[in-house]
Amino acid sequence: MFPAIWASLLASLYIYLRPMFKWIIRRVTGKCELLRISYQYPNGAARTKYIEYSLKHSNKREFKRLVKETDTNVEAAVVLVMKTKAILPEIHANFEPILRQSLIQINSYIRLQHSIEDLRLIKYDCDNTDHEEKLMKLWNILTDGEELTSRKCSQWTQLGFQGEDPKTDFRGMGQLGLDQLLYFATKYTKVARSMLSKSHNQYHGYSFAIVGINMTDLVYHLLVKGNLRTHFYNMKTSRPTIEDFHEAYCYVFWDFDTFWYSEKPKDIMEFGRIREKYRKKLVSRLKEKSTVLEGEFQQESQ
Amino acid sequence: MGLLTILKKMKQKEKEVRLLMLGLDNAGKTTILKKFNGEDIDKISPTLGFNIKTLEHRGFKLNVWDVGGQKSLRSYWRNYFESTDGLIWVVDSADRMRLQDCKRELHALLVEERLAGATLLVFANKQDLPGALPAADIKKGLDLDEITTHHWLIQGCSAVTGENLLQGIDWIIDDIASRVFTMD
Repeated sequence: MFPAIWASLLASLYIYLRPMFKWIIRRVTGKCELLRISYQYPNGAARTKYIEYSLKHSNKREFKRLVKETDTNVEAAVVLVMKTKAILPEIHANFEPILRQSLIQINSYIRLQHSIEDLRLIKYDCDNTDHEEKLMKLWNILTDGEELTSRKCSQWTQLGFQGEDPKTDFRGMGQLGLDQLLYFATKYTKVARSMLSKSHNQYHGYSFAIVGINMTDLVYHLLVKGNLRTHFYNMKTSRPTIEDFHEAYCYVFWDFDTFWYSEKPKDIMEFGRIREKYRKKLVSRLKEKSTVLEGEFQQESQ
Repeated sequence: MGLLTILKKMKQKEKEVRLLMLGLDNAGKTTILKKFNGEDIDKISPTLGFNIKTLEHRGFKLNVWDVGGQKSLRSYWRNYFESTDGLIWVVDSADRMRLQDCKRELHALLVEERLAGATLLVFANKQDLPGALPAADIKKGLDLDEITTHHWLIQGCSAVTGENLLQGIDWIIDDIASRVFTMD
């Protein structure tokens, strides 16, 4: 309790005194904060995050905006920063490419948050043929073409949906939940089928589809809260796509599966506890600077 | 520890109420819990296992257990019966197809010995949906008038708008309080 209070007190004191520290260090080193970062940090999430932090806490409103808005023009932003900070490319040759790459990464993450939110907001709709086709495709891939007696039937529980119509299970995660299950099943069919078959264990198993949707919930919240920046800033210097986000999902689902069995749950009622424990573990891994969420099964397929 | 502290502690303990929330899957149990607690309700995923929340309401400490409703979880419901003061049965009023299922599961609970003393609140949820049956029809569909073993009430409500949630919870607390905390 007390360490937490102290930590937050010190943090707010630091924010308050930061401009003064920055000014002193700038006088001593002759370099502004952004420039110092470019010299001190190697390529990776730590550098991009620090640049993001520096811009976010800048007293210049046009700098703050660069790490908040979706439509930032990166080239114009590079010119703006170089000019405002009076950084000469002839002297600090590495600064410009580093800044550009960081701005691209920062901006892509914001855009990714928006595209993913759009997908989540699309409710599963039985009258939407695209949705229905995806659902049937999921069935066919995971069951290897077993016949479905009717659109609404108890067979869906074999895949780990709650009842006779999977539609209601997509409630909070919308189309995103379906897209991610389908992506996993399509691209890593063998892994997904083996996880599904193991999940049927009467005592230690779990509901495959529902857990899959819960994992969408988990990665979605990590994306929104910014935890996944570590992964994306380390993984790509170019813009991450929705597929890249799905890949992170595949890893998390697969990793959770391993974690679940290693916890030796007595029965499915332990899901809430184990899910929370796993979430905390993942969050702390994402605090380490070199973390990339990728499993061997994903490298093999490339 | 002074006498006053002991008395105070006892009193605090007395005011604890254990509520068990059950119902078929997709009835809206977690949404009710979150809405009542003032949380965001548009990102809820199906409950595997259970959620537990402790809420302070009108000086009572409510321990609310929200257990997943899918068929495969229903056999675990009984693990949560012990010392339940109130049972909240949540119904998706728009799901006419499963009203029979719903009725069967509810009546199976009412013969459970460990729930014998519990007050029953039925939430006829999703009244905001166009196809929702009104609470009176749900009452008939579930044969609530047959129940003589428990104090019960049916309350039409909507977890999405929050309509009537408070009324229902207030009723169940009042009923429990009048049985359990009469010494106050």
